[in-house]
Amino acid sequence: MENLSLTNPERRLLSKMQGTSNHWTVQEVLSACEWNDQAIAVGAGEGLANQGLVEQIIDSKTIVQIGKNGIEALENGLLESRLWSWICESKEATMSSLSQNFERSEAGPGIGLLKKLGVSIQGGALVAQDPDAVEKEIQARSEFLSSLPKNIEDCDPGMVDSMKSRKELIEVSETTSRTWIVAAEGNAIDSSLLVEKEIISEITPELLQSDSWRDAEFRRFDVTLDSAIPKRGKSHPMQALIERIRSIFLEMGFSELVDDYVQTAGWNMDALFIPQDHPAREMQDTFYLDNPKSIDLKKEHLELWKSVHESGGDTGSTGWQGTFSEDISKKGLLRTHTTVNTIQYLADNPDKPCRVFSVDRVFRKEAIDRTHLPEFHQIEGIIMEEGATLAMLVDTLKTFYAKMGYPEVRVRPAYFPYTEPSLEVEVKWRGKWLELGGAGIFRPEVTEPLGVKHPVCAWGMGLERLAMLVLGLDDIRQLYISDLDWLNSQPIL
Amino acid sequence: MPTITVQQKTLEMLLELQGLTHNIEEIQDKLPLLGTDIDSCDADQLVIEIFPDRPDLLSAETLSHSMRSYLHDDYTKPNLNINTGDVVFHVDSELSNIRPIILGAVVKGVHTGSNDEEIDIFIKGLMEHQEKLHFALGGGRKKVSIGVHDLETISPPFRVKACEPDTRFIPLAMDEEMSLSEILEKHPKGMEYADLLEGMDKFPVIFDSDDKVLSFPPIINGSHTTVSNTTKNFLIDVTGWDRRACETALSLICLQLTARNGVIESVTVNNCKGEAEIQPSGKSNIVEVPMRLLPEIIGINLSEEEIRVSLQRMGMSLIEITQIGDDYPDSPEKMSMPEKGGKIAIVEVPNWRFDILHPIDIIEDIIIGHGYENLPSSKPTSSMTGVPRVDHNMRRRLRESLQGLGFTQIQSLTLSNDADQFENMRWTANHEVTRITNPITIDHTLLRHHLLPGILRLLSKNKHNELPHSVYELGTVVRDHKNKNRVAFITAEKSGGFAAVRGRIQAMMQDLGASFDADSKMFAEISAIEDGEGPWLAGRSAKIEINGVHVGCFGEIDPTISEIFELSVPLNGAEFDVDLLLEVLGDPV
Repeated sequence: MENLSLTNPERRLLSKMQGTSNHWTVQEVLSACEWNDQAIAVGAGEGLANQGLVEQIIDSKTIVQIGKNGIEALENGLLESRLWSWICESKEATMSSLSQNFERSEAGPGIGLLKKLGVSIQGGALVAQDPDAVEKEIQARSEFLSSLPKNIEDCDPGMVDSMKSRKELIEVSETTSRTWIVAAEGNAIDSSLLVEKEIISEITPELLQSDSWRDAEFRRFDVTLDSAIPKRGKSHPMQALIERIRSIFLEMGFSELVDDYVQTAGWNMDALFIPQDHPAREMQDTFYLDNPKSIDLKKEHLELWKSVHESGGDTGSTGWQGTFSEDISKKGLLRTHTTVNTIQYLADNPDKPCRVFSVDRVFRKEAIDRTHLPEFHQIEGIIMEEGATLAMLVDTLKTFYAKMGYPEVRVRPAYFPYTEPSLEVEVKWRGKWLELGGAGIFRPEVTEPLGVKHPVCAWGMGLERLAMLVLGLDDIRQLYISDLDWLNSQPIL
Repeated sequence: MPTITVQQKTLEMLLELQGLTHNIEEIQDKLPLLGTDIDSCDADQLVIEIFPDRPDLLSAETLSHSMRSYLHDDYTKPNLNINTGDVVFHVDSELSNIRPIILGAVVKGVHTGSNDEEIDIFIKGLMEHQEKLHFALGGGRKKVSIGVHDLETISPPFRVKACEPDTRFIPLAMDEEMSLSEILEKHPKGMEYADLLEGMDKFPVIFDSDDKVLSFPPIINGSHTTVSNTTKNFLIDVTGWDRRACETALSLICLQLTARNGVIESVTVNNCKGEAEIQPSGKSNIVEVPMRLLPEIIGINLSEEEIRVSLQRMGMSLIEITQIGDDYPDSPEKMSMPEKGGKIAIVEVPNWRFDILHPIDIIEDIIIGHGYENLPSSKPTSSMTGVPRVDHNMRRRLRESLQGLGFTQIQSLTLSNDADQFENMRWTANHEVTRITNPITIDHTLLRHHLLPGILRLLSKNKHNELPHSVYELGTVVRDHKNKNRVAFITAEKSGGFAAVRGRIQAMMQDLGASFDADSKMFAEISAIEDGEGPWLAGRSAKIEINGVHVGCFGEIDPTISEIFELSVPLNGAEFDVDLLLEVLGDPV
């Protein structure tokens, strides 16, 4: 018995059982060992049985007990019994008077019960073929209910079946009782091995400073059990995504632009050659402002946009024709894309080759639902330099998305009002192609009036959709109106 | 984006008319490369999204026309074949102020279908095409409206007159005569489009030689000219204010009918200025494209033959590539301009390609025709240093500090309302408030000045979760219409109170390099808020000044305020101005 490893309860129980020959019930174990907790007794008995020191006898019984509705039926009488009394006492036991005397929830099922008992409806009246038999059956049912609990073997199976089919009238449950009898191996254990040892749960500084821990035993814990998760601080998943994207841009030599949400329709749309009657400019898509209602723009810019929109100016374009309104241009709005800031940066720095990016919020007039919010994050990068081409843009996109973790990238034609050519970018995401951004080269109607010297490659994407995919989220609101338990349970991205 | 639904068997029939075989598998692979998104494609139906710049792909017929060149190498011509016809429209001069542009065409011998089902699909497609064109070209019939009639039911010549509102006829979908003003008030189409004629005292009406009404543009057609199952010969009228949109619409309806072997006959319109116009023009537009754009903008060199084939695949046609003289600059500033001694491609473009505004648009078509997948590789050459936003480190340090203190970051909407930002918090607006004209709800009428209200709203949505909650937001507010950065946090905990929040503030100030020692270079001085200013509980809240600059406040939230946000737990927190923190604290490194 070198490998004998007993817990203190097992030691105590075995020492009590040694030399006996009877079956020990849980109750007997509890009183002999002076325990209150059945789980300790069962655990000790099972532990000893597992090591072959006692024999465990398991006796399973199926017990029929009274259910929630059964208790009520015992107090007020079974539904069929109340109905039968009413039929017997009533002068006019008809269907219509039944519905006056009983709730609808009882009348319906009640008729069903009565029919099974042999009560039929004849010309609207409820009539029993054999009133004595009905009386007897109802009596048997009531008696059965009041006789519970009982072993299932002692019950009439037909009665159990019929009552089981009714809601919570009875409950049939299995109970297990254990008894133990000491085995020869158990009797052979030397009593010195059954002396209980000090068992240490918590290791404290006081304990470690004393010497008592040296002979003591450390409690073995069930390592599979859950503990409480400590409260901790962490980044919002959107912040984590933003930081990843910022570092990719910074590594690739892009500088960061930060600018205001409040902008003019002129810079947000006219400068980008979006026609003034474009549907996206309407009140149902863009947030316009009461304050500031209108924002002054430089005369030179208004004139440039007017001529480009109306006739193409000197860009060689036909323009949109129609009439350009400076008042529309000056309207204050919440930016609908970060390109409004990129284009102003280019207007201020038309000669200097640059690579700039932004990751920031934009606004669209969307009602809040599972897939829409009125504000969300957009990322955008541009390259303006001599020799910037569509081929360079596609190469840069491949580098950018590879750094994000998506090495497989493909592009196909797309349409955006201010780029030509335009591209849709798709990446391989978990085995399937996923649209993850748009790109293109700014139209001459956009760059030439501002005196921008070189072609401008641009691309962008919304960030929330990626966040939702990564987090397996089907409701975008969770990102901005978060459930804090959900937020804390998210992986660090 | 507009979507169209096309029956595969219609495409099959249309291609068969041209001697071609429809291939469903090829569509799934290759049609997206033309610049259309396939929503779904099965054995019965094709549903595709059409980019708003391509109104020429909005019907089964015009789509099949593009498919011939792009997928089947059956290159189509960039113009319409037109026979001379004898139909005449007389337009009253008064129309110049009512609906100045009137165009027309006749198309005869259209193959509408071999059975009733096919004919029904055709008629439905014809109606849908008109509606889609009204939207794509006309913004809903304003600039352009189209009428299509059964030519056999009417007798030319036609007159377009400016009529009094009491002029009567039987409009489409009605059994009895109505006056023009009744139509605008009672007829569903009249009510939908009445605003287009607002302020006019006479309305446009087209009559035939028997004074029967063809149409009351842009509202409704007459009932007796309706296209039926037996119609083979069609009269088209297009009216409006925008000549280019009207011509495009007319060409596209003609193109739709010629894709079914219809033969176009010209009409003569004696327009409101008294000039005789022969319509439709059907002629292609000629665009000169500097060839330098291919290497300079796209980064590719293509041979003349490759350019020719690419253009043909896109339904255009290359007339020639010519060398130009020395009258041009060496390196032109405008994309539309060729360089000295350079080459230009002279390209014929169908007049229904509404999206072609500039030579760069032809360049895009050449590249689509050539295939985006065939672009060469080209890396950026200049090396540049990426510079992050100026407050990049301050923002990172704040996040590290607060997360180290056990705060979870949240984000909330910038859109807020007066109650939450000001009244509920006992704050007054000391800066201009950015206000929305068309808010989505009464809760989102302005841009926030503070972060704390958003955090309180979030906490009140989290009452079902177990305490404590420690959350912070590093966010943007807008004051005087300018973005400002702020940081705020709140702890909802059963006990702790002022001592706990003051401890956190001490930790945070240490993390940021500020000191509570008056002799230090970054002296953070704390003084009590006694008057219940803002949401703070008097005597249990304080403001912080660093080197004399007021950077923020912290303390216990007054339970009166918590109650407004339906929170009955002790709250403490803080809010700081990040821009000021950066200004006074700078960067320790």
